[in-house]
Amino acid sequence: MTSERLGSTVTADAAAGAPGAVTPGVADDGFEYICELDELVPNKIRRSAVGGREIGVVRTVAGVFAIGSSCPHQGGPMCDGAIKGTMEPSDRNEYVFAQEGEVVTCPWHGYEFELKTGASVGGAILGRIGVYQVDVRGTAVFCSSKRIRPQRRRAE
Amino acid sequence: MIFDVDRHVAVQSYSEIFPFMEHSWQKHFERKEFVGSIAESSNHIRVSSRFGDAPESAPALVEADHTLLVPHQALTVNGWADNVAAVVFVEAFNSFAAENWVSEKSAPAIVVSAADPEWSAREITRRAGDGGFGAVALPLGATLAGSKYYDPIYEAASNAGLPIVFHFSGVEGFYDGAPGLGGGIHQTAFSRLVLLPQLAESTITSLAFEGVFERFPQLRVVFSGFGFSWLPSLLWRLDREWRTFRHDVPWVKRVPSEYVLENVWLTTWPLQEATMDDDWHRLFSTETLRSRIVFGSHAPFDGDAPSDVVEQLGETDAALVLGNGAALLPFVSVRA
Repeated sequence: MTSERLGSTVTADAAAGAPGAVTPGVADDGFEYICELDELVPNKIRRSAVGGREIGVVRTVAGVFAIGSSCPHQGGPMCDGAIKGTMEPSDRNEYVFAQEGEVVTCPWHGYEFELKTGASVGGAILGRIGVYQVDVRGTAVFCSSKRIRPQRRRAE
Repeated sequence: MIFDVDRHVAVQSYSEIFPFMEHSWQKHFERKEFVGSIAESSNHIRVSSRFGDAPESAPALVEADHTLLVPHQALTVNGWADNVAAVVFVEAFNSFAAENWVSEKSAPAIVVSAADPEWSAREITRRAGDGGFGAVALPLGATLAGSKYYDPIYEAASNAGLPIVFHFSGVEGFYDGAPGLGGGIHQTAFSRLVLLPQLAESTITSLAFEGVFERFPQLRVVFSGFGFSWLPSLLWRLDREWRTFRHDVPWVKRVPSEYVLENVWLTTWPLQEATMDDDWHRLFSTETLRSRIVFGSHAPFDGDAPSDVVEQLGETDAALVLGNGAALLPFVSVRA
């Protein structure tokens, strides 16, 4: 499994559009231009400023995702996290690998979060990372600064 | 109600168990090095000058409503080289226990052998069917308790509704077959005794991370004589590492401390370690944690009395701890 990490440079994405691409900026629906799709290096989280927030945008084998930059555990820099899959809950002494490209780990303590929902994998912790809507329009990647609301937990 | 989950019983001579084994095995065991070894396995923690050479045995605690009796001499099979003879010895011990130690208020533990899980499972099923026993005492083996190797024992105990008791035999840390202690072989018996909590921590970690309680959710496990003040910090470490490495043990589907706090109990002895610096109130701050600690007098080996529990924990928590054993011994039945 590939697990690469990004450098720490924050990109001013609004000005980074490739020539001939969709015009950079903010679309009518509030989505902001991030970059061209082919500028996203697979499994490398791109730090982006969207609506005044730092958001990490990443392209994996499972799709394009946008996450908040702070781990809910102790504030670790999620944009430095690794993209991977994980082992699903299984019977004793059996491994079932799944979710390739759907999981990001915090670089500080290795906590796993689902890129789609922001939830902690396997319920390891209660907190979750922020996740944001991403839209690929033609060749361009757009992202909303509005958080995707998590499904409510069942009452315990 | 008072439940004493750790009281020790012994025979005065190994010849007492000979009538409970086949004649040929009797003849095998009738030799000086075996019969004469009674003192070595009877001083329990191998500090012979501390408890004397004569086998020590404690009658059931008078104040207790239910007492679990641990035949500690039989536990020493975890240091035996001959695991065939060990099973014969333990089986005879269980038969002796059924005849002599079962009463309305006291139940001996069925002793089994870590070296033979299949035989142990059969023994548990048979003795449980006869009635009168209150638990299964599994001597600590060289293979850690979380291994599937022990599944037959856990399955039989679960089906019988009997808890598993882990209590050191005294040979741990220096006899092959029994688990070693961290760092190496210690020079003295008392240094081994000081470090025995390592074995309980190691065993709980193995049970939790190897998914035993996911496989046997009804299994109840008691750690007896290892102390308990270390439990909260162990639970914190279990959970902390699981949160990072859950994918390495995906069969552990919940925070590991949850399994421990549902399936594991620890006896009080030695109680004093938890009352230093008010540790009891500081560390055992939740109702769930306090529910895991059950009174075990550990008599006659430097044992604690119910009055010691009251003195050290106060009336309210003492009442709780003295009664907590109800979670472990509700199925005690006496043969008609």
